[in-house]
Amino acid sequence: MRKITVINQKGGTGKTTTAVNLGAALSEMGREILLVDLDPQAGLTESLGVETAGRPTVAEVLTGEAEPREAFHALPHLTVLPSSPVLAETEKRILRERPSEYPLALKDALAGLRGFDFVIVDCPPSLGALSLMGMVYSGSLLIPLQTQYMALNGLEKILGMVKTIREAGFPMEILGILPCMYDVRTSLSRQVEEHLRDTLRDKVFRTVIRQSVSLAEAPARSKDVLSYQPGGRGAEDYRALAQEVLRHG
Amino acid sequence: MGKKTLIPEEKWEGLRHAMEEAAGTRKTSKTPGLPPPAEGEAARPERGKKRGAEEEGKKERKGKKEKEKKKKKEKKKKKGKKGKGKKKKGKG
Repeated sequence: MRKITVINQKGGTGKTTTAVNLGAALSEMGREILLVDLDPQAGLTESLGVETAGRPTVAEVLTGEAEPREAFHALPHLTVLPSSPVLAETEKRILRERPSEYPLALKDALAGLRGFDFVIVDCPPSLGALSLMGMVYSGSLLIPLQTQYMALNGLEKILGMVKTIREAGFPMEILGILPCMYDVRTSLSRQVEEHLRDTLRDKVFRTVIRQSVSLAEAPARSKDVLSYQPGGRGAEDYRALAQEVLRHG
Repeated sequence: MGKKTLIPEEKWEGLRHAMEEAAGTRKTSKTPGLPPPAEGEAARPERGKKRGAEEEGKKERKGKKEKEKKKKKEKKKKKGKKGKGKKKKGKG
């Protein structure tokens, strides 16, 4: 079972879009996928139209009040461990109750999990406790990055955190940096992408996620982009990413 | 004409270092700037004395000596002025 955590402390970089559509593309290639929404804003949960009212979510799974399978929501091609705003309170509670062990909370909660080829974790836009739980759970990070100047500052911070976590004894690899929202018309996008490849070499995915209306429209229809517009640019890009992830092993 | 560079080279150099450190291919000390603690008894302060107590003591002693010197100088000046004043009075 391969685990991937999609992380970037900046909001709007394409984390949720990447988690959903990479999952959908891998599923199209015959893999069993679990998507874990670790964001109290529950963007992934909502974008796939998952209802959580009266049902346990990742918050209850983290505290041990529910078994993971009780909280799973099965879609035709994906399984979702949904989130809800309650998760923000749960985060504080876990920090209070397990001050030294909280990074292991998700790892412990999903310890006995079987039956999936990939578990993809969508983190909140911060480098707080929930993100740390997600990072420690998988030990493998996919970092979506807008091809803009300000995004580079954020990337340095994430890399600093990776170093700290590794030094604390948790294995951690950077699966890859994914250039997102790539605007083919601007020289800034082109330059950031070129320099990223020159600087970070094999740590940058060959795939680039281009700006696309279908990627923005799909969540409004509670769909991933491969179901919403199978022949579109967004679907094409995420299929290419999925192939790259599979090649990575 | 060369290409206009929109992002400074230092930014990329910083990223390269950050990635090397994150990937564990570059070794850095965990507490940069802090020297390792000195070994052996000699480096430790004596019992009952705070760290740096010796230096503080020297400073205090120096301070006292200087104050005494200043007081002596002031006394001399005062005496000198009185003397000059008296002479003037006598002449006038």
